[in-house]
Amino acid sequence: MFLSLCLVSVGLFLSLPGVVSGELEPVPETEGLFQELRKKVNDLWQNLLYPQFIRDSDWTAYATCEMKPSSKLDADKPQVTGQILFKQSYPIGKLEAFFDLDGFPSENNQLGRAIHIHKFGDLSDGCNTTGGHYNPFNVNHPHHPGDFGNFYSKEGKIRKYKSNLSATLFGPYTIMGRSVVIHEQEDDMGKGNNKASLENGNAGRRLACCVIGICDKNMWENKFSKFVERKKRGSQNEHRSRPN
Amino acid sequence: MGCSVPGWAGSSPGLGLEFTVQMSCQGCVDAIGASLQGVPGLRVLDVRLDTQSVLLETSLGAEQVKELLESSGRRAVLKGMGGSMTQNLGAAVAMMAGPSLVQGVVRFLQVSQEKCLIEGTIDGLAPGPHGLHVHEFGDMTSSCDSCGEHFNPEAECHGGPLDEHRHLGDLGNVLADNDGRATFRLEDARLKVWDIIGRSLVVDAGEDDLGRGAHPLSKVTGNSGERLACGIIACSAGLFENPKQICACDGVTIWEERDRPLAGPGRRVPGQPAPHL
Repeated sequence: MFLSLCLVSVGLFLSLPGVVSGELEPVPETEGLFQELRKKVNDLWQNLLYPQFIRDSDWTAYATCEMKPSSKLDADKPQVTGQILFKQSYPIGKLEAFFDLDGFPSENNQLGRAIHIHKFGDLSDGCNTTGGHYNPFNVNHPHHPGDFGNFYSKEGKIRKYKSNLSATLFGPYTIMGRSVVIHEQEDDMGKGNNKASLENGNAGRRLACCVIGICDKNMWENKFSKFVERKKRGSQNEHRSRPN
Repeated sequence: MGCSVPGWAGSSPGLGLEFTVQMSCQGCVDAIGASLQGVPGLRVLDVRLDTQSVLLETSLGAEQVKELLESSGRRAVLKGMGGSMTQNLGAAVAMMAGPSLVQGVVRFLQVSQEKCLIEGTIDGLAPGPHGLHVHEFGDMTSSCDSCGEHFNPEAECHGGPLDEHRHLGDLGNVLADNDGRATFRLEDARLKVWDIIGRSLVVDAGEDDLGRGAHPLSKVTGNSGERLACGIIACSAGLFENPKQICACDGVTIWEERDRPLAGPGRRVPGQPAPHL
């Protein structure tokens, strides 16, 4: 509604001078007011369309999240730490993310663990105050923008790159300043046949969480070049092992 | 921007706070009412047993009120905050921690286009003034050192919060008392909550000279010394924006967490509201 008001006022500005100039000299005072209002509207648009943090960094947004165990977590639960990095190009790029998490039990073949974006980044009562899943479009789980699904640890670690994610760092539905939560259990992906399944995937206790914050491109570029190298090595090994 | 909160049409100016407070009987409701009775700068608007919520309006800080509530022996968690004007444009919170023992909670509330309320409590400081600034990055990889410089989109010199030429992030000083606690409530006309979500708040070891000092750093940082504690400025709930129970996982509230088996049949109580996550 606010936007449409802005549009109306922009329209007013466009049409007014033409109408007024022929007959009436605008009173200087009103002129000043108009200019002030015009500047405000322009600033609002500017900020909505091109948020500061994108203008700062070659039209690409970068974000980081430093995972820490919930301050309300029992000591016998996995103490998960690590980092999640995000990158998205403006305006039509899709969100990419690196998940680097440690502190899971070292045995392999563990069940998956759910990772979701929650509505608030408020950690004043540990991960408990982060609210529910971030669900701006009022849809069922697992169709929330931050439903990243299940992650599987190897030797106590999760190392995962994901692209084409539907959450965004831009605009009114940005995930900036919200939280990422890793849960103790597997996400049933909405197939649990109960109400909770369509809200949260029955993923259980919140092990660890972090606030998504703005950062520069360095960490992402570092990680990405290592990732590409590893991929390259991997595919070379594959070639070598193939019988000629 | 994405954290906008519904308005609350109150009658007098002040900060609206909604707490979840552990209470199980009408006696508790009365006791809470009594414990807050006569506290200057605080008015209880509503205490509800069924939702375990306490709604009040106050000129005190959120952490102070939380301590008052907890002084009656019950745990309290802030569930939402808002201004008492009809327009509530955004709420945020920064949990301050860092390399030192300094820690605190600072809350931001955009009460109008021209007014950002910043209120908080920071403990563990040396008595005296300490510079407080919004920094450009919400990056804690190297603790407060990776937060970047003062938030300065207009490429200005460092200044004081009331100066025309200042970084947007320049909030001046907060004063720690003899116990090392700084309790403050600032208002800023230039800072907007939606511009600083995902960035960070940093409190420094020394006094910010507001750009008026002789030191070469005065026009850059206010020469306020090393960074003691910092926190990412995160989206938080406005009044009534967080209708869900505050919970650790599957629908049992935080109070029940402690005395309930971790799993199994004892976990759920019949008639318990559906899980909220």
